[in-house]
Amino acid sequence: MRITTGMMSNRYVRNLNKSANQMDYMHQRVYTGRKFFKGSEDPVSAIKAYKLRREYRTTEIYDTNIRDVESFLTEAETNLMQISDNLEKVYTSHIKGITGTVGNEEREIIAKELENLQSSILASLNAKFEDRYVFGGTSNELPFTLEGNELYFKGYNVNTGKDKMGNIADFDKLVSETINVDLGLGMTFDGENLNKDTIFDMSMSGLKYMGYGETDGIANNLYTLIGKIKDELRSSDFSIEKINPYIEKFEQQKKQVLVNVTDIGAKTNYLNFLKNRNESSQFNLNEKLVDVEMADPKKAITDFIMQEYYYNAALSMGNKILQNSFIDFMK
Amino acid sequence: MLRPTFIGYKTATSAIKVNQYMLDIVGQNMANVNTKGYTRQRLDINSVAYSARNMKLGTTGVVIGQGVDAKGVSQFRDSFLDLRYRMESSKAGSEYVQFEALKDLENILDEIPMDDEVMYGLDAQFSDLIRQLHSLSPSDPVSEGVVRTSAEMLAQMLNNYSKEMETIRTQQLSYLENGAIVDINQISENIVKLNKQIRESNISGNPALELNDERNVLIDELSNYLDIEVDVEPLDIGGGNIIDEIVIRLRGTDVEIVNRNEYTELGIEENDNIITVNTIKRDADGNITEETDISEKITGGQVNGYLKFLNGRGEFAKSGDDFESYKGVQYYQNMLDVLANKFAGIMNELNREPVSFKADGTVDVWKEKPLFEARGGGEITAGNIKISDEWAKATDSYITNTIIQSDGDSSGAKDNILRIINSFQEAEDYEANIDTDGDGTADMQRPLFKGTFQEFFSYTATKLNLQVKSANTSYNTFSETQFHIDYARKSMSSVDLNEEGVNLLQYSKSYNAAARLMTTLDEMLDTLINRMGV
Repeated sequence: MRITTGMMSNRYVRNLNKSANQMDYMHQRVYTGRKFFKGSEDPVSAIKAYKLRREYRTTEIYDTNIRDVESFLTEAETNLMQISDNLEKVYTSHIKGITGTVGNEEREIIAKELENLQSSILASLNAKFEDRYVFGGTSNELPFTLEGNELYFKGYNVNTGKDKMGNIADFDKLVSETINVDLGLGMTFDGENLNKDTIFDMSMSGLKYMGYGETDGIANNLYTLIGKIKDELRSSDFSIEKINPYIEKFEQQKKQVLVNVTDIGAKTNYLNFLKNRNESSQFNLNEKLVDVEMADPKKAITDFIMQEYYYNAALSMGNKILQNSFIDFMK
Repeated sequence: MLRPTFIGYKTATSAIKVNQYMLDIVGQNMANVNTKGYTRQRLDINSVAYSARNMKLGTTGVVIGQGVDAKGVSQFRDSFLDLRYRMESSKAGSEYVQFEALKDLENILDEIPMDDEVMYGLDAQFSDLIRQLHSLSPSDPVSEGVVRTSAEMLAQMLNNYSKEMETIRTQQLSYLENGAIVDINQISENIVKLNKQIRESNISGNPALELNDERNVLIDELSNYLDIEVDVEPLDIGGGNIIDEIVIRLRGTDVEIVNRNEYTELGIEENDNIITVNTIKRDADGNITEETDISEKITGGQVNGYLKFLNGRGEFAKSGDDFESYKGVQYYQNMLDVLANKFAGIMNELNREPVSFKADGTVDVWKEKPLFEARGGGEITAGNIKISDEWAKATDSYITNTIIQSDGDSSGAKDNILRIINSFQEAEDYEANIDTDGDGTADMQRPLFKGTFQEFFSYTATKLNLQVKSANTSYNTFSETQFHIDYARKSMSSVDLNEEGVNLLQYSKSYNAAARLMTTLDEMLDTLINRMGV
């Protein structure tokens, strides 16, 4: 093939430009540590990266949610534990010792003690964590209120289930209110309804823990029971036969509170497991992301240095290629 | 037969003259070593001998040639290489425009680039909205404010993307209208001017090689804009002389861009966002008398690239037109509109609030509480989506937190918020709604994709990524081929200094030899005339 000087310089400039471009690209790689800078450079990796980034952001959300729920549960556990402790303390030091022969004065002391217990229970039941009532179920308003001596939950009497207007609430519905949180269990809906096993229920119904309604004419609610015992103690025709059914019920319900405390403990353990699992999947995702998006520094630097070498070689070649022609040797 | 006494002088003179020409050609070649489009020239020479036809007076004995003669100057040029070069040039031109324009689009939609690990863009904004919904305290106007801001930013981002895409569309349109088309008309006009000059020169016997070079450069340029073919039409100018004239057509069609001394003016027309390229005819006063749409016949070159990019609607195409079925800017604009519309529709439906319940606890009557609406009314698109005025003005909480009937206060329930969150991970069907008859309502649907909002967006972005990559590859391939053809062309036509240097030496030697011949003849005559018989 006939080669002319113009062709040589033309091709040389073209190649030099390519080489410089390549070097700039390699430099960018070393500088940013990234494998590619635009989706079009590596569309397949881009698809992966988009997906991994989304998943990673989701695990971040789950992490926040798990931590929130965990603190919420700890708060509930503390409060319920406090209630349980108080119940136990008052029971062992006072109620247990009630016999038919307890004197008036002593009965008054126990009654006073029970009054204190009532108000401390009420305070615990209305405990707030951040801007949510721990035992309020789905309510954002103060859940437990007093009307005279009667305790109301969300405006409904805990014993009769009636509100002030006389409407009757469905206790079963009230205690099964849920506050579901998506903790990365693969939340799905079945039509309108959430699939229960795909979400985490963080609601703590104070009504359920304290008991509601009446069985055989005796209130199930601990607060009410304590009130009843107190009333009996103060009553002029105090007798052990009259007070005993309330005390028996009290013992029963007290145990139930303890069961509930351990129940929360189990949930906290489960959360711990979820947290660890989420953290490890976060770690895995991060590793994959680095794999897809980030360049291996050793390779990036080696590539850059090689390219620099090629570029320099090309530069020094230029001098030789474009040096002399026949004209320079003519006499 | 006797040898005429002075016959040798003619041989010597012709040799001196022709070698002088040779050196002139070397000079011309060397002078133009760097001239763009210059084609190496050569002197066509042949040896001369006299002859006679009449046998009676015919020569007898030894016949010796009578020197050398220059018949003309010609060029080293292969028209087949020109043809191939121009074909590749038009392909490269089309891909170049597509690549550049799609790259601009990619700068908007591509969310791969990151600054210091900070992810931004529409995909990240969707994730942010999900995050805010997760941490939303039901019925709390303060924490709902955070959600609202995030939703507002999402809407603004869609507006922004849509606006930037429209900017790119108008930009490319103006490149076509005020760049390519103006340039084509100018080039055509210049080719016509050259055609006239070349014809005049040819008639007077001048090959006008330099003008031909100039014209070839212009045709090369034109081939980058349009897929053209050049036909040489011979013209008999009488006296047995034929000169060549050229006609330039769009390849494989009868559309003449340049016909000898006339050229066709091209123009642009926009109709319902579809761009057409027209040939324009004017009367003597310069008023347009006729416009003919030739878009379909433009199969290559930059103009083809522009038409594809500007008219391309992909699945949203109303007709089976080649340009419309290409995935150009309007395809991506439409995709974004579909996303905005779907997203807003689902959000608005999920935020409905129950007014009353049936006996079985299901909702009887709903109250609409739209979260998003179109700025200025009508269908929600990426360009006009915004959070609803009602939501923006709400002082109390606006997001419906529950749709379950309950006793007592349920302002802390969040079942509906979960439903909203869930909609971000629910696979939806996306469809292209096409209004083929232009009556304002869609009458045809084409399926686009099934997936979540974010998946749909990255599907769109990666579609673009792939398209940019393929345009880039095609462009590189065609321009590489173009370079190699040009290389082959240069190999034939460009001036080489080594060669010219050698020729310079050779021809100056020949010139000296011819001069020497003259001197020797002179000495011979001197001997014959002055010394013989003395």
